[in-house]
Amino acid sequence: MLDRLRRRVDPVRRYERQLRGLSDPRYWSRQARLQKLRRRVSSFSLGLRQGGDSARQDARVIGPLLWRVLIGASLSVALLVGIDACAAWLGGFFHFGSLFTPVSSSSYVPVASAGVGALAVFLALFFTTVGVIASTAYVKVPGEIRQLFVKERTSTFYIFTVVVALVYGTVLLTFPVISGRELRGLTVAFFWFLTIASILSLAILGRSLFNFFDPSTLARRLYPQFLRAVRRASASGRHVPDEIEQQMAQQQAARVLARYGQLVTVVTTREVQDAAAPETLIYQLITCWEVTSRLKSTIPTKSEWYAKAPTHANWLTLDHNRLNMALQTRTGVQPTLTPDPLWVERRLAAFLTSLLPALSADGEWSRAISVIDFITERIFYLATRMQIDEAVLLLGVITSYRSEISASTATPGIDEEFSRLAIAEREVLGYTSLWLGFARSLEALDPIKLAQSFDRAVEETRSPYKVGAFRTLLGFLENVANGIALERATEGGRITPDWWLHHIASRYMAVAVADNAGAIMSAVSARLIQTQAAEGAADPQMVAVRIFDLLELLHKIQFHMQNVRAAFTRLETLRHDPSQDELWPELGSPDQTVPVMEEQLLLQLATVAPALATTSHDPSKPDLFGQAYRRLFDAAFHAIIEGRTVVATTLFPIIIDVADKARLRLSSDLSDERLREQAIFGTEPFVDMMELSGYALLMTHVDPPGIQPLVRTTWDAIFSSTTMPDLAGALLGVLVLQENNFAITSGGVGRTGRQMELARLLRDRGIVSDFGAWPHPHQPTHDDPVVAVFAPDDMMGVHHDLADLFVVEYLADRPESAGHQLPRGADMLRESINHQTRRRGGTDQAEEQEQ
Amino acid sequence: MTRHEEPVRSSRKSYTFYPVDSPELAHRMEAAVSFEGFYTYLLHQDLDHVVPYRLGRDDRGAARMVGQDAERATELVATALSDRDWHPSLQDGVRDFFGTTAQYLVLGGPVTYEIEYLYRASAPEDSAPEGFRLHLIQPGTLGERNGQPIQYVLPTISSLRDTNGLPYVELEPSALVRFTLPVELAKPVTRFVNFLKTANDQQGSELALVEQAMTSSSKFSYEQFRRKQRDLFARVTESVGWNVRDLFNEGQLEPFGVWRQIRFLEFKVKLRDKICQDLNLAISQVGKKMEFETKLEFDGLPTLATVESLKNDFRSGRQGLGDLVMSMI
Repeated sequence: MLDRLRRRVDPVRRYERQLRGLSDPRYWSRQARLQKLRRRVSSFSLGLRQGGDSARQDARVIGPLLWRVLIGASLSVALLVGIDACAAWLGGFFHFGSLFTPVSSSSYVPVASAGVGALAVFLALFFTTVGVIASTAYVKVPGEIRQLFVKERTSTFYIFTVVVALVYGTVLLTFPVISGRELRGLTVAFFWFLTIASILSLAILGRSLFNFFDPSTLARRLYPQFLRAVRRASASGRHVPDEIEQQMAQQQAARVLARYGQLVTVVTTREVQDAAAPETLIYQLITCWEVTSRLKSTIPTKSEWYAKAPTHANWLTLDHNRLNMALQTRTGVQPTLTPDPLWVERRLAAFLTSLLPALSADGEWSRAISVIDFITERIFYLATRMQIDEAVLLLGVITSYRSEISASTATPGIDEEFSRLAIAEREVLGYTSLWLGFARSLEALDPIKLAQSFDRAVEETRSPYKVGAFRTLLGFLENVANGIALERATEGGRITPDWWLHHIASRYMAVAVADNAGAIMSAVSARLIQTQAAEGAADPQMVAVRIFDLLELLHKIQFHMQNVRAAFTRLETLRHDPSQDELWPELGSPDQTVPVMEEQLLLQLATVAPALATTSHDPSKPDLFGQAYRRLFDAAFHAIIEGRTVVATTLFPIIIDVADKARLRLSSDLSDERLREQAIFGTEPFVDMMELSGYALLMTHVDPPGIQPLVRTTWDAIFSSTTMPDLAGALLGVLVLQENNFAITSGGVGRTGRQMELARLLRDRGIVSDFGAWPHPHQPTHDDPVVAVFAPDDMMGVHHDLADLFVVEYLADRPESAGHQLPRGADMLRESINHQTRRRGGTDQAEEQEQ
Repeated sequence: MTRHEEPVRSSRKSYTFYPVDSPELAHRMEAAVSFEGFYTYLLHQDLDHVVPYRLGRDDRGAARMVGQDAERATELVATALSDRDWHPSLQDGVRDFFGTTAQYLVLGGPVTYEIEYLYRASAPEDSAPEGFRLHLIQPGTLGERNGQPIQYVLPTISSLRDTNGLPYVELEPSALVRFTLPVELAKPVTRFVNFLKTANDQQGSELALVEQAMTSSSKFSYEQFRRKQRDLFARVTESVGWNVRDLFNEGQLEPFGVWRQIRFLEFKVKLRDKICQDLNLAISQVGKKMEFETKLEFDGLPTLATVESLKNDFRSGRQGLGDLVMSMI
């Protein structure tokens, strides 16, 4: 007996029975029945929870209407009985005419009948209006949209008030007849209160009557439905939705998105376009996107919420069981259904892509820009949640819109032109937002807190949904939580050690960081830089605007890459070194192509810069020409001193040309200023031209051959083609003027900065002078006298202006300069060079004599 | 003396045979132990490694006889444990003996060997034996009659019959040695093996269910089937740590797989130590008769202390999982 009992409770016996049961077809039939039952129960409970939403979807409009009428009627009867009882009770304390005493029905029946009749007419008129609009304005829309319209309109406060008043009035008329009792004055008076309320609510209705023609207002009911569906799929609360709940949530969301799709079609194909309807829809759709994004980390990665796509198995690496099964049954291996995590976002992106052009169809550009700014903000938040794929999808919406308006052949007005530029700018800003969001998410990364959150995430099977993990990490944490649950069930406790969890989870994060950084760089390169190059210079302003933003973006990428690297290093503190994990990713240098991209952009900017020139600056427009000039000058300076000859060769003649155009524009811009200001500021481009030429000549001495021939041919060409009567005199005069000017100008500060950069560069290369070197050992002077003169010392850096070098090496030798006074700096420089040349010669002679 | 050169006299009473023309004997033997069946065969193969193949072939592990007569006893024990068709080798003999005994112990329960003493044919009756061998009493053939051990044999071998008419031969109790599982493992292992036998019977049943699902409205779900199997196997194999050759590793974490390998190693070490203990009792028994004092020991093989150290390393992370696995191979 005891043995039999022991055998019964022996768990292995039970497992044997269960194992045998698995091979019994009846077990699977029972499972199927159970699942069916669960589906029904779940469906029923969900139906209750959502207030019969799914049932009403299929029911006719009359269904819910009748339901409301019944509720209204019951409410009215209850109200009437309640008020009458209340009046009877108050009659014991108060006496005010016949207010609290029974009144004869004959005293109020005629008036009440008239009131009831009027209310009935109100109701009929309203339904007639709804019917007429449904059959006219909504005649060409899908049935579901028409149904949505009728449902939306029949659920207003007005209808509710009228129905309650109507039923109340009817009960007021019939109650004395049926019950044989007389009602009190307060009960009758309340009917008039309801009637007046109905009339007043008609006024409220009338105000929004014209909304009846706006299909976007129908979407108001859709967003709460979508929100409910996403929440139902989410495991953020105590309950992890089962497969059936997930399926139902997915179906509900898909239905809502289908309705949105129909509304988008209705809005975008209307004969008369206005911006309000698309704007309403766009904001709703982005809000749907946002709620999906926020709850995504709480939706199980293998949830039925996600649409499924087949993934086919690799027969060469197939596990034994599936391979054996396929071989035995002569069948193929069933493809695994992999969740598509972007199914909602793809649909929303498609809707947004359709809606954005409709937004600006009637010239409402400011709305379009506001919407795009809103989208850009969302992109930032998506990136902070490491939802880079989603963010790139949303960026595609802006790109598509920008391409569409760029391709427009219509001649744009001034507003439209600026708006196009603004939208082109925002496309790049979207990527900036993406990068900044991504970098922001890594700023506060603390390995200790991270490890704690990993531990929390695997405590129970529902724990992974509470830590806000991104998709791949969430999938891993789910596996770990389930694996640990299995360990607890079989081994009586957790087996997987903390160090392994921390190592692998942080590896997932490191992979995500490396991949996302690379993906963002690839997207920037492929979608912005290369597209920019392919689109050419058809619209110089558009090209310039985009290049400025792209340069800013590239700078931000380089700047914030240090945050990314720091985060990556912090993640490595969770790495388990003894594992020698070869799958641990390398961050590498995703930003290594940035300098090349910058160079490419600057060269492109150089090609459009001359076309940006204007005769004067208009403060109401961005100064694209001035910005391009400053940017290119800076780029040319750096290309020259860093010895990037190809870039310097391309930029130098262009910047000289652009500087001349800048000089011409300044003469117009400063025409209202005093002569002194005109002279100081208006001649800055001349100084720039000579200074840059000076740098080019100096660097030829430092790094021969340099671009000296180009400098000379460029200036030769200028002198041979200039219309200025005395260009040489003007150039020399400008330098004399600048020498005598003690005002600290912006140009002067810039020149000092450039000289300091030159000094740094020369020092780094060991080119220094002896002056002020004590107590440091003697430094040999450079072989080239010009370089020796410009070699920086420890105290003052470079002692001569580069523009003076241009004078000494080129300008002073030109015949046009004869008879003109040279600047004092140029004289001193020439003297220093001669001194160095003599000194060098003396040294050489001394060396020869020694030999 | 070399083998087969001089006639010898044997003390052996038991027989080794195939149960041809004896269905009842065949049934008894099959019921006692059977390696047939998918899962039990996999386990049978894995148990063959209770002592590694490389024993004595490198410096990572070897068997040796210790004690005052170790040198003399080494050849005797090597001959006793080696197949008589091969040149005697202590390392190979020990490895084969431990592998076979472990397989029978786990899959069939306690195992009995008969010590066969070998005498020169010309030697007097009371002389000491010249050598000895260990013969497995085939599981299912061992019985008892009037308190005396017997072996059921083929009718052609013996004329003695028990009350059921089964032929048998009488065995010498003092020549029998019994090998058993460690006490704490006996019950869990029996249950585990019974489960595997059930799993053997069910093996491949999913094929029929899949076929059925293709042609009818059967709701068979292969994924669910696998998941259930995984859970059941994971629970049942917990006592020995066997991973069923990773056939059911879906959803299991990598550390869990390594932990199971450590646990299976622990099981094999316990099993090896117990077999060694029982074998040393047999050797001691033989030694008394042949006048030597020795016992078998292993050098370099993992011990329970090694297992404990591996467990500590696993928990603390002193070694990576890959290194832990490598150190177990």
